[in-house]
Amino acid sequence: MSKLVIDTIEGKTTAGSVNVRGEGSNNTNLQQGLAKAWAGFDTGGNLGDSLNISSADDDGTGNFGINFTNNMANNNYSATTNIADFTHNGSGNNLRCCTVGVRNSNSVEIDQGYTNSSAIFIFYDGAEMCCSVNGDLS
Amino acid sequence: MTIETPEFQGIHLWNRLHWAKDNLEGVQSDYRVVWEDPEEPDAPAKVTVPDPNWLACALQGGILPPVEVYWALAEDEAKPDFKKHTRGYLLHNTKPVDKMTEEQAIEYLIMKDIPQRVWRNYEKANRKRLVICKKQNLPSHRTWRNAWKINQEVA
Repeated sequence: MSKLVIDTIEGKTTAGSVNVRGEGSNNTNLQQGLAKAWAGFDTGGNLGDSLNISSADDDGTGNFGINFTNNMANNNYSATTNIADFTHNGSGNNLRCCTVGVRNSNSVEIDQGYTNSSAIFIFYDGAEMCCSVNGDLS
Repeated sequence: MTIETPEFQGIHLWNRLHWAKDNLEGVQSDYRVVWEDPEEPDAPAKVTVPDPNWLACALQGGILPPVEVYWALAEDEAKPDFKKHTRGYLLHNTKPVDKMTEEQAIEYLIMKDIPQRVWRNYEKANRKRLVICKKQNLPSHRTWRNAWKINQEVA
């Protein structure tokens, strides 16, 4: 078994692009697969740990946001959110969930809530949230 | 133990954040910034909470770019034909700011993460719309969270 001990991997043709051989002849681009920001925080905006985050916003019930230290290159990145405790609220409504709202290059809005029996999204303060961002950095 | 910040001007900000993550302990702040957006008069007061890793960078110095860099990028993004940042190099090539006190870091954070319409010409507004307070000054429960407003008498 070989062991690679290095500090930096850099593309030979393009410094910021390294391919990893995937399935068959497929190549997976290393940089495109890395999370560029992530955070875990509670409904008070208190951040437990993070990368590339400058602050969190508590904008109201079930209404939050995180701000980036290193901007993303555009507004078309992918942000994935999750909630640390997927429990049913016990009143006939659906599971609590997190959704991604407005994306700016320096921030992303995150909503938390559930859909009621009339399929209306109700903002709700649930448990801690997690967010991970993939895309291109500025 | 004090650790010295490497010379980071010209180094990608992303790399600096990794260095900070490896070398600096996060600092939890007791400060909170409570603000109201004049463009959303019916919205509840918002609360901005500094990130511990970011605050560690601010207190360390030599890592974060000047806040004016973020304003330049925000101007670009506000243009109707904006598709992608072309001046991201400002984040990486502009001389990083020196170390700040926690209070200075909070002021920097306000100017970075809170819309300029909230804090620019602040003294000309007809009501207090931004307050820096301690965590313990916030309501202790969130039952009426969407009714939170800045108390004009104590602000």
